[in-house]
Amino acid sequence: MALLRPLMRMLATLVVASFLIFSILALLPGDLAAFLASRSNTKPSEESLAAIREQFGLNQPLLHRYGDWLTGALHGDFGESWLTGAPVADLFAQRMGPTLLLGVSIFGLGSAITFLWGGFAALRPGRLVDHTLTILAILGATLPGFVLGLLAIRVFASGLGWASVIGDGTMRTVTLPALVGAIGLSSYWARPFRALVVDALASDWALAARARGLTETRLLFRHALPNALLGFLPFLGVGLAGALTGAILIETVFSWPGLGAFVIDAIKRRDLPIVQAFAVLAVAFYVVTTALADLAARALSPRMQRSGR
Amino acid sequence: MIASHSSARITGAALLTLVLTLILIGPLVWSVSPTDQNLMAVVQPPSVSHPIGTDQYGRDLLARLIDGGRVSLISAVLIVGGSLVIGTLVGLAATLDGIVARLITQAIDMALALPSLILALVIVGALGIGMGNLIFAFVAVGWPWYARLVRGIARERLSAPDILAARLAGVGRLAVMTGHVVPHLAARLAAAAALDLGYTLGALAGFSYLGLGAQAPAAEWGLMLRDAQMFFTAAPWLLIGPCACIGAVVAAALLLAEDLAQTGGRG
Repeated sequence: MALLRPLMRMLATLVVASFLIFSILALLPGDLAAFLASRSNTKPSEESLAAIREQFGLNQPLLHRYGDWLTGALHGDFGESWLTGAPVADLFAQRMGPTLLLGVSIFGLGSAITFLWGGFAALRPGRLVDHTLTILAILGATLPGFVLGLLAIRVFASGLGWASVIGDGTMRTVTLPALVGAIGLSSYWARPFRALVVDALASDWALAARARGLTETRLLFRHALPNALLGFLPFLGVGLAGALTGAILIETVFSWPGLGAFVIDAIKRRDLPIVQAFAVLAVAFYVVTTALADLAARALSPRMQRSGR
Repeated sequence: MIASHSSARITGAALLTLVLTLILIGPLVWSVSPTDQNLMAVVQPPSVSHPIGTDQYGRDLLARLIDGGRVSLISAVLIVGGSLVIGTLVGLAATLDGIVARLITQAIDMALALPSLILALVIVGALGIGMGNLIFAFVAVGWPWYARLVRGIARERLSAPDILAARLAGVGRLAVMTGHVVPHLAARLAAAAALDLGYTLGALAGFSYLGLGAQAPAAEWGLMLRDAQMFFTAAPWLLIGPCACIGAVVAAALLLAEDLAQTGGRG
């Protein structure tokens, strides 16, 4: 079974990654119990330190603690916030919606821009349209998303009064942050996609199809684009994961009420259960998406199907 | 790719020279303190005494831009340099025979399957925020890219006929590595490092913007944008300096990397 090996590899990566994250956060320099106790104003006694270690299970061996945490996480229990005591799973559930909305919008808009942009450039390789789009792609990649976001707020929201500056996490205000994210994403995607379409149109089978009398349009839509999309699947996988994780910065710029700003805040307050849950979920999402895109590309490839039989 | 190679190189070099001049020569010409507050002159638009204005504490923005640029660029160079050295050593080690080399290769592949910025966030979360910890975190997640690149080039080189001849003639492993493999890495590594420098500078500024890197009252380009956040509707000049500088460095890095990748550092 050709799919078994990549799946096993993906599972192994997930286990190693979650253990790595757990260890990094567990082997903090300094005594965590003393740090937690220092939040109250009185000087902590030895007994209260011991009680805290007991309460948070800090006196157990690392592997044991990881096992407990993993068992809980697989049942949807990511522990409680150190600061408020609220279950991390509930805190995340409240903020997941806006982040998903923004991430999916960035991904959808970015794909649309890429396909139009890369497709047009590929039809006229080496001509003015092609060069212009290449330069635009470099410019788009030049300004980091958060810088672009700040400038966009200044120009569109403060300057022209087009969109609300404060994101409220709904469809009403998603346009500007999604557009900013999509510009960055499509600047990264456009050139590889263009190259794939150009390669497809210049291939031997495209020549054979033209010789059989196929029109350029039919060749492009029926043969070249599907072929290019197949090669593009791995890029889409990395991009989708990047759109959701990279949205942290864009969320902060636009005061978007999603997971991003919440997790950054947790890092500053050293509320580690929140950081840990977020990191493991984000890594799992990234690993699974990229692996699935890879698998899909393989499974859909005619070459792969022939060798499989 | 872009109009011609030489124009990409000239534009990139010019942008880089401009920013380096600002950072290196700037302090000699413009000796205003980047941290001195003047509450009588807050959020001033550009003028003769403050060429690009002042911020909400009345601090001179040009002085902060110069000082912040030094922090940003030195940190980015440290990160790229550290990742490059560690990655090269690990990548070369992965080409040796035996179980250790196989394990190293596995480790590189696994590290590359993970989202690096998320791991950097975790490390900063564990160590606490600050520029030193941020640099450490970026190196910790940055080396696998170089390791994979070096491993690929080195393996290709090690199967070349001249290397085989050298080995048969009795040249030792170490001598082959240093004399016949490492010199071939230079051009490709330079292109990768140039690209990485721009990307790293942007990511560093992003982390500082989030408040996870440089801390007030230090000046750093990302931190300056964070400070500007509350006031830029009324005072757009707060954005211009840091945005232009970050854009210039990233563009220079992209252009020079493209040029290096296509000409191999020659031509």
